Amino acid sequence: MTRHWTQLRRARLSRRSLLRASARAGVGAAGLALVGCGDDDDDDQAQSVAQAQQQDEQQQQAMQQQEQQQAMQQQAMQQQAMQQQDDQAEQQAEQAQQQEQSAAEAQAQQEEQQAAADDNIDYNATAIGAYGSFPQILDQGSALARGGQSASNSYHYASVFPLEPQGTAITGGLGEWEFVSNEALIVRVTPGRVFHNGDPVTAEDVKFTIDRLSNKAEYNPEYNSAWTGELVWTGDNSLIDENTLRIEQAEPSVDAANSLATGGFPVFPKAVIEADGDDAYGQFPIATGPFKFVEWSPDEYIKSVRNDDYYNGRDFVGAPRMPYLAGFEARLIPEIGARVSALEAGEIDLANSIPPDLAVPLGDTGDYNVYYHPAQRGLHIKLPMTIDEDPYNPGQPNPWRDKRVRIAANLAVDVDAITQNIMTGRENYTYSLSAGQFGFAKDLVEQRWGYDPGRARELLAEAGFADGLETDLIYLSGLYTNDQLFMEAIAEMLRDVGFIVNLIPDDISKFLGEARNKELTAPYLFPQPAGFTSLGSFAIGVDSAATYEHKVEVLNDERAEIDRLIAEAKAEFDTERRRKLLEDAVRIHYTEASWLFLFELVQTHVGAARLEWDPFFLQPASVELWNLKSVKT
Amino acid sequence: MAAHLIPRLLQSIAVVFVVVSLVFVGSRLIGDPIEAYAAQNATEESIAAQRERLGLLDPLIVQYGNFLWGVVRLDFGESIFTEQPAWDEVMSRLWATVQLSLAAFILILAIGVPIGVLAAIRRGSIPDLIARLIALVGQAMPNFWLGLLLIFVFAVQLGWLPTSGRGGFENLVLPAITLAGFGAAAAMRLTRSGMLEVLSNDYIRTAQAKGLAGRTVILRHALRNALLGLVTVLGIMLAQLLAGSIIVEVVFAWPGVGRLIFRSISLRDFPVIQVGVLVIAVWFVVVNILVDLSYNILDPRIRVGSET
Amino acid sequence: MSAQGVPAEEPLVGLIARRKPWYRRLPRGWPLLTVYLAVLTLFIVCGIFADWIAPHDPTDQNLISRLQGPIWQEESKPEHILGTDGLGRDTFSRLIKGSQTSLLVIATVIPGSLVLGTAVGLLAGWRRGPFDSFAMRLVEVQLAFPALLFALLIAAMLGPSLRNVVVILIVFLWAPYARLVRAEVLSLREREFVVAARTLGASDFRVMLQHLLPNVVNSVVILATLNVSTVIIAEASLSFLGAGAGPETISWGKMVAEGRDLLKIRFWLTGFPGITIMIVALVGNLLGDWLRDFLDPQLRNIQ
Repeated sequence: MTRHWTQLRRARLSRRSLLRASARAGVGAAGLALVGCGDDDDDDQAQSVAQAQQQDEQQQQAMQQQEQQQAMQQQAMQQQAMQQQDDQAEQQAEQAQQQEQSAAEAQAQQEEQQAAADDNIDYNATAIGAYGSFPQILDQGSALARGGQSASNSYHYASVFPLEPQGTAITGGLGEWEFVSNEALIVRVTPGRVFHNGDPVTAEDVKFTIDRLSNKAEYNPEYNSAWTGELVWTGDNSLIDENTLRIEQAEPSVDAANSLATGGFPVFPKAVIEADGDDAYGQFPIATGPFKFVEWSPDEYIKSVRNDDYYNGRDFVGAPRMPYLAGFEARLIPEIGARVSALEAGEIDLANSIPPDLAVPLGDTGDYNVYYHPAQRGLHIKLPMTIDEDPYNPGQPNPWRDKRVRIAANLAVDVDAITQNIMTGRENYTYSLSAGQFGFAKDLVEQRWGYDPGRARELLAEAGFADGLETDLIYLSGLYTNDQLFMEAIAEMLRDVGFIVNLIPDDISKFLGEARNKELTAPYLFPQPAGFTSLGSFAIGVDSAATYEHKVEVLNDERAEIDRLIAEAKAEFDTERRRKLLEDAVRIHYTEASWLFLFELVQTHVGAARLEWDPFFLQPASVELWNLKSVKT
Repeated sequence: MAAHLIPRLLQSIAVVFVVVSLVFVGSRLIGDPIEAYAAQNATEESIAAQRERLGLLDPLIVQYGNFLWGVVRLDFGESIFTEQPAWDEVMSRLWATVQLSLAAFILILAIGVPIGVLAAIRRGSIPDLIARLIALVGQAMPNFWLGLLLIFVFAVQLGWLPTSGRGGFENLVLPAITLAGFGAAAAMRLTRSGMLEVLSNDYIRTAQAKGLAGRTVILRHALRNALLGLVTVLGIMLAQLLAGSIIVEVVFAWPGVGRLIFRSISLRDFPVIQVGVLVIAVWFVVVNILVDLSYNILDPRIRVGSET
Repeated sequence: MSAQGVPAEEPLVGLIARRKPWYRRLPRGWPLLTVYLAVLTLFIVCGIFADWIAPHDPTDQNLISRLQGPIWQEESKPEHILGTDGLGRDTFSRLIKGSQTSLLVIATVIPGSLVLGTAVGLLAGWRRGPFDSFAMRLVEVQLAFPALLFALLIAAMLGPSLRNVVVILIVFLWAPYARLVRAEVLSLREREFVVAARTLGASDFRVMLQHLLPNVVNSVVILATLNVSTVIIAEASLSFLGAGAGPETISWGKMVAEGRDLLKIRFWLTGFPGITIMIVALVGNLLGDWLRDFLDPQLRNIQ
């Protein structure tokens, strides 16, 4: 094993990751990710700057190779499809290896650069960024704060503990923690930390926050919390003194501290909320984050300034840190074209979520920076295993329970053609919930379902659908870059092998309800936090997947085996054995073709040339503002 | 005057009532806000409790009764999503939409009507032909496309005006032109044909025969009579600008009522949909009553003591 | 203006003069009319025979040759005259297929709203009384009702589909016919021939069908022609907001909506369907104007 492999493993097997799964029963993460909500700082996907940069470089090389392949494709696309996939599998494996070797060097290099670049930064600069949607209210703790696909206000908040780049909680934020036993956790708030309004942060505020988010706060037990899933491990909590809080664990969780460190996990000022109420707080958030809220106009703008009292300096190892920008204004510009126009007209400095077709030419002019941002969402199409009957042929069994049909669907879709031609070309194929390039269940790279429409047709015929298999295909339009395009491409590819696909862009309210009630009877596009560096995340993913997929009973032996492995892994404290158990689960999940596997989304944002940004934590939705630098020209 | 106005007011109230009731039923048919409202990991019980709290479990007729009673007390409930009063939510965006609509209406009056008059006076001239061509093209152009083209040319290529958002006067220009486009073209055509019709009437010829100068004839006689026919059409236009601004608000990121309702529909935020539509319907009937009243001012046969 | 209408002396001339050669008997403004009719015919032919005319399958994707420019630009391919969209589908074929959708909407919405509106107008104008006031209040409600919002509600309720678009447009377009027909009937009902028919014992139905209807047909046809542009633009606007035709349907409005993000770099993706919508709407309006001048110069204010 090379150095990097060990490094990655350390990340994956961090304490936090390990028991994370048990902490997060429920589907908070995945569900919120779906509507792209207040989970901006979703921390499952931590990764170092060095890795990300390295990855970028390699992906550029890969792009070049892919361009050559495209030329070949034009001559004989179909015949070469299989061959190509082998190439790509190799390529991915190579990539992973290269990455391993050079990550450390890159890290060192980057630190040097950083030091040199710091003199160039304008600390008085402000910036205006445009987003496609805004949250309804600014209370990060509320389920209603979702709807900002682009995280328009998570930067007002900071969690109890910061996260280091690998995604593990560290001390140095609001305070420190200590496990007094397997049953309880002591949180000590560092004296001198203050909210945006100048009030000191005390242990009472932390207690209040946990109570509020787990619907135990006396002032309003009906609070519509978005974070209950994060806090299922908490039992009673009691104040020891002004700065010390003891949290009993309802279930043993060494992961407890991490759930308080989750990016964007808010800390609320008790006095303010109790005095003014939830409604007022949703309009004027006071928190501890790196930016202070100034004012907003719903549907128009959110103005913030740097919180100069923010306790973590710019050289702090974790996140968030003291911002470089003195102020930031988020603007709502729903139309993509208008966002780009506004950027070009100089009205804004940063346009979030711009499709690559537009972003790349802008970057080529040299006047703009294009930020390739692995959004760490593995997109796949969930297959409707829960229903018994074929909705199109009442009385007939559900065709998706036939493995041949599921494999046919996977063989029918040329994922690489989609990512290279419609997307940025930097997307990785998803193997189940894990990404092959991270080395997790690496052997799956060789077992990848390739693109083989001929075989797909045969399988469909074998399964008794020689005349075609009619099915709906559901997705929520406009949530992800180019989603309409790639869904139409997928639908067409499925049609080519004999599926009779009715592509349905669904309405968000309807979709969420049906998904929650497990009423979806058709395949549907679904995101999963992916590209995992952590095993725990995988378990979370499977858990949340189960919430949507299972009805009551377990469907088949394979599914039962997956569930058994996950359950066993959750109780397994030995990291190596735990990893093996989860890898086995992934293998079954993938080789069973449980889903139609697609790719990990890469978002593209475009910024003015003066704005530099390196991904620190790879947040799912948008640029971390505290890491955005304005360079002097 | 009052005798005319009171039945008209009653009628208008009835119209508003029907519109709002239709929207009440329509919005209840599109499903339940709770699905988008509840947290993803919400339990069955908590979802049921939320439904209960929001009164969504009551029979439709009870909800309707509560709603009407609320309207009577001018209490429209809270937005389910922002938990702010729905009335405030709409009102805070109303001025933006009214501003846009009025700007568009002024453009229609300031461009459509005078050009129409000019074209009629100089019938068959080159300016007339150009005006007619513009009017034809303007009426055949979908306004979202016009908006996109305007952004492309004036904001991106020329950089003269901002692309979107609301701010100073310069932000208003492109959305107002876009919203006015169709109406201005229609007003131009209607003014022109109305003027032509009036100009061909006998009494104009008589006036001319009596030796009144051309300009006076046009302004005092022809224009007033032509306007009379136009008032209704312009009134309907003014009323529809408010409701029709959704597309323009979407294209130009204009923070108005149209976009609020658009989003509230997808979230099933009933109270906001209802207030939004109520405001639009009231606006419509008020404008219509104003149109009626303006007849009194413009029509010499109704006005007492006319000097003509 | 009368210059563009039917010259008043024509019938007289026709009686006295010898039969004129065919080219003298062409209606006034025929060269332009020929152009309008040619465009209209092209539109209808494309609509009906779309599947035969289109050089490519309009749903056929080719991810490698996506986003190609029209033929006069560099980096284009000769087999795609007007270029390709984001999925490599042939724009020209999609335009042709899109005309089918527009034609379908026009061919259902216009007769639908025309029949509904005319029937209501006839009844209201002839019967007067409570039905009349009810119908006129309904017209008023319909006008006060924000049509677009209603369409969005319907789409949220039933999902976007062409059928919903048709129903919505009929619901919102019958009212002008009703008002127009009612107004005409009100002026016709006291005319001698109507009174005579009534005295001779003709039934209501007979009077309306045989005496009133033929006299309102002209104005109704003119209004219908002018409505072509309204329908096309309305369908496009609904599609733009995502409440239009379903995902499987190719429509011009949707093509504009789909291409709008790339307006800056691929203008023609929105340009072609936008211009096509404009041309068809324009021809509809011009034809309506021409018909109005030809059939009934008095009705200049129909809109």
